[in-house]
Amino acid sequence: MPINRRQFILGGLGAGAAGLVLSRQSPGPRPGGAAVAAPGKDGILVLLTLYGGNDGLNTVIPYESGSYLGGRSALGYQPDQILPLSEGLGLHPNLRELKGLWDAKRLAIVRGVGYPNPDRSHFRSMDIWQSGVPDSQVVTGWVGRWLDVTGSDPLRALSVGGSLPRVFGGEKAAGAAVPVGELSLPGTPALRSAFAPMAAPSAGASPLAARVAQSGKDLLAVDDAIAHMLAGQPSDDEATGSTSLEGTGGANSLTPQLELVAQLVKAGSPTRVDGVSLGGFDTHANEKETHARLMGDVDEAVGAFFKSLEGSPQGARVVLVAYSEFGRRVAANGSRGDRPRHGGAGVRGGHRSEGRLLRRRPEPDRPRQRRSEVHHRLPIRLRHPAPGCHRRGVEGGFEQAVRACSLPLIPPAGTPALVRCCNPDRTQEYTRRLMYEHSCSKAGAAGCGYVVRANSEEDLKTRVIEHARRKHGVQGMTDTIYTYLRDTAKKS
Amino acid sequence: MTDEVRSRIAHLFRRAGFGARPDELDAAVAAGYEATVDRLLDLTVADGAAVPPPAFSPPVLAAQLPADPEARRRAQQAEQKANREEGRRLNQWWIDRMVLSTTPLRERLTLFWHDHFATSVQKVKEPELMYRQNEIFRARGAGSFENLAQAVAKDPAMLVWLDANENRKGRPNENFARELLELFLLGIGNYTEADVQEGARAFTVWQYRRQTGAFALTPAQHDGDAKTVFGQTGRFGGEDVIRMAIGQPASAPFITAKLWSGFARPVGADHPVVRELAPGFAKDLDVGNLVRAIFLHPEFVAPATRTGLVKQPIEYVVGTLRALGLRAAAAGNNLPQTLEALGQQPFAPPSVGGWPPNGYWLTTSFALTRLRFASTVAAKAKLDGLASLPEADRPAAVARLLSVDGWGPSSAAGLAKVAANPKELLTIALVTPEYVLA
Repeated sequence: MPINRRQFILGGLGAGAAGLVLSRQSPGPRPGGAAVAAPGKDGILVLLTLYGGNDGLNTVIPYESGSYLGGRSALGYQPDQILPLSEGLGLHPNLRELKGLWDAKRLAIVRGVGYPNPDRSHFRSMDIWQSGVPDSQVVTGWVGRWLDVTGSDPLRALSVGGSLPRVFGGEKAAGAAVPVGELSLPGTPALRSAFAPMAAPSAGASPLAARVAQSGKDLLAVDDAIAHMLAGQPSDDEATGSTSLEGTGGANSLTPQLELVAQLVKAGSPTRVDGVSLGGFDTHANEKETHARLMGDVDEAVGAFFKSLEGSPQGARVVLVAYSEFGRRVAANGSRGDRPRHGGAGVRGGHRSEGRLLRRRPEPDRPRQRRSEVHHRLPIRLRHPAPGCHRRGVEGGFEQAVRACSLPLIPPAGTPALVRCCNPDRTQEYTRRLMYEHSCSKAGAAGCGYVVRANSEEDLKTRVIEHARRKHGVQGMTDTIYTYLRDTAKKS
Repeated sequence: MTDEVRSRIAHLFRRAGFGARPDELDAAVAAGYEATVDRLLDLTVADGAAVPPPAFSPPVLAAQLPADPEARRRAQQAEQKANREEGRRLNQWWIDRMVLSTTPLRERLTLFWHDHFATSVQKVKEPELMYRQNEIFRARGAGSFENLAQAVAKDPAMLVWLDANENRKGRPNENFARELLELFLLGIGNYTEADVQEGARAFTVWQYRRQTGAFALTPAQHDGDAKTVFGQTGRFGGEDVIRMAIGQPASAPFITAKLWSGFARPVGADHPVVRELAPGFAKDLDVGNLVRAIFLHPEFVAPATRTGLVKQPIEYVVGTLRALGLRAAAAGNNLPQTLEALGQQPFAPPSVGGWPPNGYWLTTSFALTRLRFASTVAAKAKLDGLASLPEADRPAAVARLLSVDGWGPSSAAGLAKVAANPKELLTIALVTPEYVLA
């Protein structure tokens, strides 16, 4: 059973990789088929990146595990401090809002998420999660590749903050980065009238020069759209007497980011993917206090975010996913901080209902195993138990969330696949699920039973054009006609 | 041909420094390209810019803190506040130093090494330590790479940044050894996990002592036993591991590629130009010689190189202030915030990996901040010369002022719309692709 809308998924739970999925009364899953979204209906994915390698074993805590209690002497929590879930797992003491979401059956936990041969470099690990490919040559992100095939509107994916994470960058298209504070362009109308032609593409411009121009062009588009959307929207800050989006930020930098996202969602933004982030999880030394503060920040910001979306029809479309590059070893090192070790990040919703544990947790090692690595055990509740498949990759990790939002996961050209579960049967299953589909009857050609699926929209388009020429005598079908067919099919 | 020479030398000034003022460029064109390379690389001369560093207060040691918890908390808060203020002044100091420098390549190399050995005040806390590290880059940045690496490895800011104080015999903290091999000396894939684990033992316990403000090795906690690193076994110390890592065949191409990427355009360690230049660097490990070889390489002035880098925000801000004859204060009191909003606050790289190049700077958010910054400095700049010209001549004059070769059709169309207003003309010029590229 796919996860439903309005959910919170917390991944990146690292050594003891796990995720939390949350949902509540919500529309059923969207039928499969065309992956291009119908505005206003499809899910909105909010991607929360926890930079630095979140300590998963101290997020979803296996508090009954002897290995945890023994291996985590100074860094661990005692059973009476932990917010209990079930099956011997509990949440970090500071995740009180998330516990409330769990109790409301809006949260489920995904465990055993990772990718093959974990890399302990922060950079490589984050590259793998954001590109979705364990191939260092791939520079596009998995959201960026979706942008590549769905047009050029920079509003479809917004990252809050100055820099744009790799996940939002495609071959040609890129998401927009929006600052947390004031969004409007400075200067007079005359200046603005000069900015627009300056940012127009120039024939013969070098690729980088074209990108500079594009960033200016996107800025104009985003500025127009966001200023328009937020005009007349009551800011959450007004209620609390604060004056700006940054005003309530304080030490918790995640809160204002999610406030902006909530405002845009409620204003009906066409954005399908929003990126927010919190850094500082690279807590090598004095881990426990710092990590506890960060857990509190996540809890406060996410709790406020979902409260702010209460009652909003647009808010019901939101799925929030959090992930981090990797987790931490079981044993503390000499610095009261533990080292990155096995244990992946990433999330997926499960085939179990919400408020349940979706996968068997990875067990901390038995003490005799070297260096206290965590191994993920075989999943025992998968519908298709897959021997040897002990981790879920990017595709497995994000799959349910992105499917709930009707976003496709597109492998980059020339690479075999996204990071997949290592079992070939399940790989095929994923591939089948993520196909593009065209149905003549849905597109309005009653009586024609032609249905075709393809791995990419390009491929699908080629086949549809061929079919239309042969069976329906349509010569020279244009992109416009194709788009019309696609959109008609979607509405049916 | 003169235009081509002028264009090449303007490119050299942008990459080796922070751009050239019109009179500077005229003089350099008269002297020729190679003579200008020699002059830029002559770092035996002292910097003519006398910008004194800010005063730093001594660190408050734990023993000096009051015993009463409330008083202790207040004392710690006071120290944090003082550190923030010192950090702000340190930022302004370096920007001004870059703006006024008469030896800009030295500052460019300092910035380059700051990015390479990326260390952040966010964790180091004490701005004075960041200043001391900055002075290492300035003093040693054009000399022997091994001397530089050895000095950085014992630099207090780096020791704090990568938890060296926590690395003890029997309970090693591998952070420093891992980043040393992955990011500073060799690059990923050129060492084994065992090299990291054994190497970390050689750095136990390289400490920064707050009491003395200096590096110290604590013999009792140092692991003096035999280690096996890069296939060799011995009772190695940290200095040995650094020397051995730099001696690995992958090190010279890694560093050469990094310098080529920083001054010319991003390439990998297997790029032909890196394969060509790395053997020379492997022989003498002399950064100055390598930088000279880069500037004199035909590929350096090839079109792909000239359009191959986006100005990093620090370069963008410093270059603009230099071109307009302004100082850091002209950008308002919030220059540190401006640089933060542009994504590149000095002394605060996003991670130990430094700042990513090019596309990283081309987001809508940074485009907005660039426009705001441009508008602020254009309001401060003295543009009487520009205003005295006929409107039709003004875009070309702005190009000359900013040492841009000329405007493409889109930029020309935009500039024509605001040619009547010199400040708006300058604002638009400062956000054109021609100017934003390095």
